[in-house]
Amino acid sequence: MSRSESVFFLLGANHTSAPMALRELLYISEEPLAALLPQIKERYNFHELVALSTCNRFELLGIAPPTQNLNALLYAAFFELHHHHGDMRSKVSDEDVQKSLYLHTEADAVRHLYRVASSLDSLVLGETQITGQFKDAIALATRIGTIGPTLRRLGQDALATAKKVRTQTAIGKKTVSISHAALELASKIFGDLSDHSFLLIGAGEMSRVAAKYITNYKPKNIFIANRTIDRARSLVNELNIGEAFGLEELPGLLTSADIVISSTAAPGLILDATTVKRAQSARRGRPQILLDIAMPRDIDPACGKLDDVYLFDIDDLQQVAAANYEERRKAAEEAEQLIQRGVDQFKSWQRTWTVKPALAAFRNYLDELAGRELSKTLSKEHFRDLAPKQRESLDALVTAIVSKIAADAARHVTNPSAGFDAEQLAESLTALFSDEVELRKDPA
Amino acid sequence: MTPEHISSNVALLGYAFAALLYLVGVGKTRRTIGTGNVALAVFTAATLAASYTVISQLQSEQPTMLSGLLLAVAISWLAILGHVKFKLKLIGAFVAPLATLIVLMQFFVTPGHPIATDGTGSSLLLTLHVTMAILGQAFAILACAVSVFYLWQQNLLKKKLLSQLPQNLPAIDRIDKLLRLCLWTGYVFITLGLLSGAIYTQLYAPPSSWMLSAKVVWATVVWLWYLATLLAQNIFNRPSKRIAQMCLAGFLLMALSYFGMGFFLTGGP
Repeated sequence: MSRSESVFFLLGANHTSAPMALRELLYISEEPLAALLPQIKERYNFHELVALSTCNRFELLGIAPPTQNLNALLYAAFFELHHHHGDMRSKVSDEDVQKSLYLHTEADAVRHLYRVASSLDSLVLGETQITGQFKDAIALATRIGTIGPTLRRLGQDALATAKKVRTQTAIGKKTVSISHAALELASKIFGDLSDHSFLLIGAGEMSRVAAKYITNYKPKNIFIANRTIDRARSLVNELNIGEAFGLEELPGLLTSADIVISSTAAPGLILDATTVKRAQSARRGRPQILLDIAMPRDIDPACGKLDDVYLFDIDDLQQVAAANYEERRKAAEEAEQLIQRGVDQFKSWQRTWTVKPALAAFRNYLDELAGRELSKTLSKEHFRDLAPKQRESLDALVTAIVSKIAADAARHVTNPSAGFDAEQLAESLTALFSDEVELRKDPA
Repeated sequence: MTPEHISSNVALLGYAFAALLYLVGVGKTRRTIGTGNVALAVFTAATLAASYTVISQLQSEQPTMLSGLLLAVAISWLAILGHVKFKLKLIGAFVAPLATLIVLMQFFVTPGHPIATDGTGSSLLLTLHVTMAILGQAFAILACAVSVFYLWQQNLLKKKLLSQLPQNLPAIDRIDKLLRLCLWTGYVFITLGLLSGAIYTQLYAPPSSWMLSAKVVWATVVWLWYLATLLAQNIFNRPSKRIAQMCLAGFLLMALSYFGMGFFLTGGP
């Protein structure tokens, strides 16, 4: 790629282009990034430079100077950043890394960035974390002074578009995580979950995540039962809610709990149909939902055949999550239209911003020319006797003509569909009219 | 054509149109909820027209002569309440066709002779009996509708057809609670209807001829059936699915009693 003008670029790798092991190598935390980015910007003469570094992506976005070999420049900058940061070269060759990188320029880069900020390019479509990470990246670049007006504006517009995508489409309305899908299903059976008691069997990571979701519903009770009661107690302490029990107390707990979520690492079944049936009899027909999110399963599948017991395992919940994902995917199609609109608006702003100084020079030239010609005309013999009001009218007429010419020119020049190269046009206008103004001012 | 004639015609057409709209929306997703709102509006308008007809005619007719319209009005208002308070948005799909059928029968079938009353006390007791009996029947109809929704939703959940769960029905636990409420309330009204009927008979009508008439026998069978349902639910802890099925059977028994014997009031109050 050879370019004669500066170019907006985005170079990086994400969960679709690079495996986890490579993404781990590419990840750079905030502080080293704060030290390295200004050096790279300086060394490669980038006008602006921002890095987005998360567990799922590493992307450099910036404005590169005019160069005959843009790709080589960008890859060199990318690798230098990573070689300075860590010993990536000993683990993987630059050639291999390069195969996992994507490079977008101009409108494609802008579109990619808008999709990233709006979570359309995320591993979990519609998740909100990336928007925060994007904000952090812009904040870091502002702090270390590697961002300029163009990328700052681009960042603001990308975040505004992300907000529109979140509020005007259904992209974030349906959950796609298993724990959350389990609770969504529970609310389908129980409606308002705050009136109900939860029993969590197991005190591992899955239980912890589920418990955090549950606390949002402000339930009546949360019972946490675990083989080792100490782990259950520590989870209760961490959440600051609920009661801890040993597994031997499950039969009693089952009569009180409306929603049971089991996620132990036990190799065999924790709950059999007989225990659940006995509890059900004591519950006097009140429905009970059993959510088995363990692998291998904790709850006997025969429990699902009992009246008023609704058993769902991880496959069923994945079905809910997948259905929700499908809804998000449909919403993403709507979001793409919002993003296209955002990209167009940014391009229009960028074009205006690029040619603004040139248009100002053109306007100055016109004002100078009109003022000079008017003075020349008014100094002639047959205009000397004009009344002040007539002079003012003539002046207003000339000013109006100048304004009209300048406004028409600005409209045509900033119109993206007019097909002008904004940067070249700006250069030409500046060269033509700035010199002209200077020349006329000082003919000597 | 009198205003009562116009309002009863409006009620009939409104119920029929609402039934059509509701049936279009059954089992559909949020896109048809808009249709459901229109259906509710039409249904409410029809109910208002039917209520106007009942209020107007009650000034000149005995409640026994208007039992069909009274029942249609009672189930309609209960359905509207169920829709608004319990978010049971599909209840109209069950009640609107039934109300259409009841009003239609009231149109085509000539009611029997009015019952001769003996003074204010007799008249009040008769009114009380009809009101209680009709409210009991209305709640039983509602319990049947709720049972249908319960069984439908339970079947989908048990078969794990989660994507087919209707958007316009509340959670199954809420439906279960509503079913219990309808069952208890309906049972209380049916009991009061039977008691007031028995007292009326003792005080104002000779018991020999119709105490064991088909109507009384069927009404007692219905009462016993609902008693059995409540016992099954509260004493024998039968699952909600069985209770819902018993409510459906109770409705069939009651329909047989109502349409077969009670509609024309040939056998007394």
